[in-house]
Amino acid sequence: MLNQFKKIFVPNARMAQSPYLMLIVVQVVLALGLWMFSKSELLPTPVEIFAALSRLVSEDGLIQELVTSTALSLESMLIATIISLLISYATVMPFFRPLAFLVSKMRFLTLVGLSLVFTLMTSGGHQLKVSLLVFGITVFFVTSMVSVIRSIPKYEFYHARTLGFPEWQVVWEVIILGRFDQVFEVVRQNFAIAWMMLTMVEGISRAEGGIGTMLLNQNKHFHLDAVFAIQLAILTMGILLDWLLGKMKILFCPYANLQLEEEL
Amino acid sequence: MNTYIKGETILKVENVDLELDGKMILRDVDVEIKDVIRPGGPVQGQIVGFVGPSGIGKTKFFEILAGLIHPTSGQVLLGSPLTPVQVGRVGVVQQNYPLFNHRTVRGNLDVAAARITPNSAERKAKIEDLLKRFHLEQQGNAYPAQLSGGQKQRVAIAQQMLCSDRFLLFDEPFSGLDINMIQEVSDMICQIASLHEHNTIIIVSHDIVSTAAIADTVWVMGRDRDDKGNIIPGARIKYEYDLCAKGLAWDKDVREKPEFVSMINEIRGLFKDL
Repeated sequence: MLNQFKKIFVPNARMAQSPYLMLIVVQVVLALGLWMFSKSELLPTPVEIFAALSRLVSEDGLIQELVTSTALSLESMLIATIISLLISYATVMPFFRPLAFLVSKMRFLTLVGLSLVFTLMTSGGHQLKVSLLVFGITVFFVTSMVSVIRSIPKYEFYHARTLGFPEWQVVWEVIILGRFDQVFEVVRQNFAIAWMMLTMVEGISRAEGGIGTMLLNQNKHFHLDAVFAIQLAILTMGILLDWLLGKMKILFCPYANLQLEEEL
Repeated sequence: MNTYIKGETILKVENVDLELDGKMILRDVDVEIKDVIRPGGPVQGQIVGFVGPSGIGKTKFFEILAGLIHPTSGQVLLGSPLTPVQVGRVGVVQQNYPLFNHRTVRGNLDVAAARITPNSAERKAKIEDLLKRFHLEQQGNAYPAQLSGGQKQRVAIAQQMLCSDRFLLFDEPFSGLDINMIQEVSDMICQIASLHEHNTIIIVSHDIVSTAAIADTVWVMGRDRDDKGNIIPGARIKYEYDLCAKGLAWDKDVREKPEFVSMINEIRGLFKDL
């Protein structure tokens, strides 16, 4: 056991599961201790935060708002994933490469600046929020996915061609099926971005409420304990969804992690 | 000495030039591979080798032979009757044995065989036969990431055998292997060649000894020099060694023969000026 703990600062060291779990527990306890006894007025204590959390759940419908926001982000993520994959896969044809390049560069635009255009283009708050999120996710998703496709080594294409595959089958085997596991990684990364954009989008249109609207309201009234409680709920839900996506990747692509030294 | 006759031409490289970005890579490459027949002897396919120093253009020549790229001028013809090479006709075993990582070993073989053998029962029988022959029965449901380097190489060879037209091209098959693995790969190549009279194995390598030990013909690629000793761009075939004529083909113990050692030393000597 002692030998295991000697490894904690050794580069690329692998630890057995139980000492590693113990290490996590120690770090969590240390962090909680520091938090409990910190004197900062800007950081409510865990007790205050959990009290606020309980109040938000029982009186302000936090769970309902969280469900609304999760449904909104899942809907947007699904639409954005379909659009982004279509644009990214289309780059195998030169005609569509300028489109993907343009979409990718649009990530430097701000959502707030685009909200007026999207308001005029859509009818209703829900559509506006979905459109803004889909736009926000797509520009990053296409960038990541095109990069995945462009980094496929030449020998993989050669391999498929030497098997006598027609060029569309090369695309299917090498790009679409061959990189399907990486689509899950791109979805995970972009879901995190979408989750971060959520509060901003819900702030632009407060029609349906949602966790973002709730957060902005609590911010406005300077309820720090409630703000931290909502952040905690957002963080927990984000981690849960990320974990689910990771599990889906293993389910659909059991080969994906076989070559990794360590599963993250 | 083994008796043999050389029959019809089954692969012909005619005046191949390759220029890339204004740089001459290959110049006037001419090669002819004939069907070797051993009357009264075992079934004998052809094993030929192209050797040359690193960076001379062997990989580009390999890609032209496979039909993956087109030469600037000239052509590659193969088969009986001779017809221009098209990608997919020549099986290619690349140096790093690429496989489809998202498919199991059986899946990799199945997708490769589907074009030539559309009947699924027939295809399954072929695949199981190859798995058995290459000692891969236990790995049939494994993913490439779960295979050793040797197993990956065998799957890559099996995959190409299922879809090519009796021609198999190996790119540096002995590179990075230990002495036991080199022997194993050499035995496998000889075994494949002996499966059918028209099976033709083409090895592109810088490993002179391992290539010459199993080949019936070795071509040495190199570049010419001008009067001042400067290299003239563009590799071509500079020397041909007919190992059948020298009595050095199809002999398991050829490495120990003084004539073989002397030939290897001669080729090594040539490498300095290539």
